[in-house]
Amino acid sequence: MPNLQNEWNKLLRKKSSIVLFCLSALFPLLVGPAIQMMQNKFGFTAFDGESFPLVILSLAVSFYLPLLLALCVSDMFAGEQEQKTLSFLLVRPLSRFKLFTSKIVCTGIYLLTLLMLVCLSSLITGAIWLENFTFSGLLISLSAFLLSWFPLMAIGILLVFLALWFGSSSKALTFSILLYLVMVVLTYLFPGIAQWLPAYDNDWYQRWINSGFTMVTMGRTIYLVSFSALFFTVGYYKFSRKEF
Amino acid sequence: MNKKVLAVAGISGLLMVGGVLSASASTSGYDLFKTAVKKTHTINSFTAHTSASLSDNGKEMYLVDSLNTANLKDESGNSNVSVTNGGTTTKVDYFSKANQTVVKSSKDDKYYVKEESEHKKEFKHKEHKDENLSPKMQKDVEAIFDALTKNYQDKITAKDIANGNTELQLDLSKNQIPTVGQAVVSFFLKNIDQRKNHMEKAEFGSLQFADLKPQLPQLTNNINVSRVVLKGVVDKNEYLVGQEATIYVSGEDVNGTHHDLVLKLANKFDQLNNSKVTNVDLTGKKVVKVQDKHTGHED
Repeated sequence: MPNLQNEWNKLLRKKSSIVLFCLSALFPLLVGPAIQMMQNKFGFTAFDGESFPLVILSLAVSFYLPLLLALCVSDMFAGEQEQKTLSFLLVRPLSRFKLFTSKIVCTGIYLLTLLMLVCLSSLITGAIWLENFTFSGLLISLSAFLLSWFPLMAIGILLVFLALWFGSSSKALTFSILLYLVMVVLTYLFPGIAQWLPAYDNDWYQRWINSGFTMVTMGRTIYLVSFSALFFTVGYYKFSRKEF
Repeated sequence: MNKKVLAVAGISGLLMVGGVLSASASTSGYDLFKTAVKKTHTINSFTAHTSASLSDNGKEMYLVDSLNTANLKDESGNSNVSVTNGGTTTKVDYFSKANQTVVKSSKDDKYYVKEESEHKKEFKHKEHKDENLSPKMQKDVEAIFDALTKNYQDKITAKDIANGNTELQLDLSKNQIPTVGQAVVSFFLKNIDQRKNHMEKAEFGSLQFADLKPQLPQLTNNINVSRVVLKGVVDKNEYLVGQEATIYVSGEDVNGTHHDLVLKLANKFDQLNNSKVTNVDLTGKKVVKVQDKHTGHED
């Protein structure tokens, strides 16, 4: 895919992405032993090797990864516009559709890398420090992390659409975080409205793992896919009409 | 170009609506449950068959079975409880009126009677009054409950069974059980031996507390709640007539032996609003008056 390599290189050249990769990998490795010490001291088992990666995942999916996603997206769209580097891309013999797609795909790969890093380090932590680490637990954790890519990507595409309206990355980031916080608060205050928001599906992987293919799972999957398609389309429309 | 964008946006928008609606159509189980709980709260009298059993690696080690009749209006009720603990069965009958409680166990033929003083009764009455929430508070409680159960609401399945009853079920596997729940259960099971001693000596007449207390295996490692199944049966008048909870816990004891504990709690309501409470006739019976828990009894 043209320009994808270019986008990925740009992302990896940033010091902040390397630091965030390291932090994501370190966090479970440090939390695991701390939890184990606390559990031994007070005599309870809240986490074991099977559930530890899933607990880390639910934390990452609801707080950590959306923030990183917002940072990445606001840099990639509003940030490049602010630094006036986007115009160099636009003069290349590539259609705007290809440019837009390559940026979205790059975001997706970035997200997958983060998920896999957190997954690996929390699995290693679970295997070394915590009791009851099983092979089936490993498989469940791995598939849960992979499945979590979809709802996060839906949020990512929504954030891309949002970032296109701003001329600077800091503004785009601030508004992305605000939007995400509002969505999370809404899911608790008004469950009726919440089901129209992608943040409702933060535990989407649980539906697949626990109930498999049911009416609810299917409905939410259709929702996620069409939500992504909708915001991809209107995002592209905005991107193609924008003057830089 | 514009048409293409509009077409894609329109189709995906429609699909989105369809997805959400089809997902929420099958979540009506939660609403039915809420209506049933509210309605069942208003009943005046009922007969309830309640049982609790605990099994360890498939062997039943503890069983409580009770048949209760209660009239909530005049606060009277009776219940026949039988406790099977490791093969021995103890039967206890309770009769209670507004200010009197009678206990009879199968261990002897005495009737233990406890009268409540006026003051205490008033206090109890007041307490009972406070339980009835104002409509506004009830709404707030409902909102809090909604928010807390948010993650479980659309996992409740509803199934029509015989006699127009509906069975609601919530089946939670290990990774859906809140971490706090795991922590509390494992803490309780690990530290069970420390609480044992001071309760063991408690007794009520011929009734020893130790007879009624299950002897749980002492788990030390790998304790976790592996599954929780909650069931409810709602009848055609939207009363909650059956409740059942099954909790699966597994763990290892000091010797490394694996234990699968299954705790099953079940309750069935019957004769809603037309249950008759039969009271005990104490004439000619051996009656022991009990003053208070701490002072024991006097003949």
